[in-house]
Amino acid sequence: MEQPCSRCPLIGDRICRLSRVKGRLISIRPALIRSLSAVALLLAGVLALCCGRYPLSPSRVVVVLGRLLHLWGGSDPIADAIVWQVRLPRALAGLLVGSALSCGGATFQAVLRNPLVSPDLLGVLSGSAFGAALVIVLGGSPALIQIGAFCGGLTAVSSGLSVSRLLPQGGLLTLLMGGLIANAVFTALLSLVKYTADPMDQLPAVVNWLLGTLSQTGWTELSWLTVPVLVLVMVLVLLAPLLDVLSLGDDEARSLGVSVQVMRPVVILLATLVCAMTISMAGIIGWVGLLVPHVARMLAGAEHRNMMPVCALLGAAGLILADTVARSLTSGEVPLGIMTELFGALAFVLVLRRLRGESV
Amino acid sequence: MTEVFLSCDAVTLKRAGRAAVLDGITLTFRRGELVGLLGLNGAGKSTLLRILMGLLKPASGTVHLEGRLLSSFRSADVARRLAYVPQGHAAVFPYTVRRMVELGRVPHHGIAGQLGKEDQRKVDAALERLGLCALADRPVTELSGGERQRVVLARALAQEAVGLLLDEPMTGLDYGHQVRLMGLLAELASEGHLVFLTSHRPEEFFSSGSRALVLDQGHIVADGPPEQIVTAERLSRLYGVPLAQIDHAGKRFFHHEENT
Repeated sequence: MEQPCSRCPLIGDRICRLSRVKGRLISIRPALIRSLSAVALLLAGVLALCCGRYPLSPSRVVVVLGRLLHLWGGSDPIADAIVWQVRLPRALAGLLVGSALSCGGATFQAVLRNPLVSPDLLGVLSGSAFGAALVIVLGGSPALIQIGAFCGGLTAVSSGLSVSRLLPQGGLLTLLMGGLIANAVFTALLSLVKYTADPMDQLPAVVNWLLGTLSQTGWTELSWLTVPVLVLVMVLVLLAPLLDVLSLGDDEARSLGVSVQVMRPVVILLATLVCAMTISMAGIIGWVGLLVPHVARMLAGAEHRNMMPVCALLGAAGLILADTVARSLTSGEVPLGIMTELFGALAFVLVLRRLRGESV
Repeated sequence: MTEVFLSCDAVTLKRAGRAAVLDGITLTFRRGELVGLLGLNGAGKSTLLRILMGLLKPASGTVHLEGRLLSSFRSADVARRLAYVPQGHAAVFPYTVRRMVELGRVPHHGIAGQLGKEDQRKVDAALERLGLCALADRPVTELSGGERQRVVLARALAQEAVGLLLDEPMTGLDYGHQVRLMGLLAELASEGHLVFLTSHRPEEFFSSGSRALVLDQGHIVADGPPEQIVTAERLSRLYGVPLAQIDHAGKRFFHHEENT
């Protein structure tokens, strides 16, 4: 029921009604953007399964997938091996890592009220890097390296949060200082581990791990991490409306009945948990957590309820594409971390140009 | 006389190594009052407001809301009774004006709850009352400071709280909007809201306000009807500048008194 805008002191009734019609049209947009992002993810998946040093046609990939699902019989051992053992696990890993880092990044940006923040601000990357490097130097198995990375990331962020609680007056600034201190300590510890590592075999292994890649991810890792990562991403997407409130000032959020002191650390820990899981799976993959939330915000608007699903879908699509390019570009393989750093930084210039243009 | 809605008793706040910011402040507020709080920069006006909102714990003393200790309320229950308009709102993310106002419904439907038709109607009403309909789909980051201030006020209205606590709400508003806002606040008080604002401009609430308070060196040094409190003599003493007053058509104006 339209209410006449009799109380607007500035504008007439007709403009007010027109603005409501416009508002309704705008409200359809998020669903459209979400659908298009889902299509983009699907296309990226198909592309990832088809492209590579041994190209497969989409129809051949569909036949292989059907056979894997026991929908029909037949035999194509080469295509089966490529899709099942190499490309499908990598695409799934890309989906998990991309969506997790993007949603984690968007969450960090919202709760720290800074759109230029990425998940590493509170120390999750330096902590994970230290954990993984330590296990590599101690001669641990790949599974132990993953556990080391995961625990390192969580320890770094937890110690940052604890330090921030020790500082007087609380609030956002002390949180950032806590993160700064945790980052510094764990970066120093990583350097120490690198310094003591055997330069012949351990140091290259540490450096390789730090570059980030999906090539080591197989069905074993996926069987452990798929469910927890997807559940955490879903939780972050469901918490999206809370992010709108947490991104206001502390006093404003509390005056709306939201307990900032409790909710902020909880949300940070959830985002850290999901980022640490992906780092343990793929190593350090930069820029995704910073860039994708901006792209999602540009397409779907700033409201987290609308942008978080788009962020998850685009992050997944983007990382699958980046990984496909990384393994198809040369006869060897460019580590994915290098690809995302390079293209992420370049793409961010475009995003910043657009953002600056809007703010003028 | 209506019953006390909000009160504080012997509220004291000290900062290390400094004189008490607030020293034994005791005040009561009722529905329908439009109260203005005057004081120098750093006198503790915002601090008192934050303590009354439950955003800051006093070193000693208590705050009561509807006769119950404020600290015994759940934060969402406080938010359904008291709304807060902070001094200056720095928007980081470009939420639409409508979304910002919708956040005022969070205390009622929770974080995850969907806005119902009734909620939407209240959001629309708040947008209309502040003249924000045409801006509803604009990002708040593109608005001027004054427009943003109106958005935060609309959010407070959508919150449907009886008590409205505003920290220097006129900051950044052009003269027209200052006059309109004061009219709106007087209207809200006449509808039964408690409106409590801090201000640096005593003329603002002289004609519309029902009560003026002066906070100086941690104490409430004056409390009463604006015509008795907002006088040239008191303001000259408070601000340390010689002022003269001119009363005209139920309003009071101040000017710098030179050569005295």
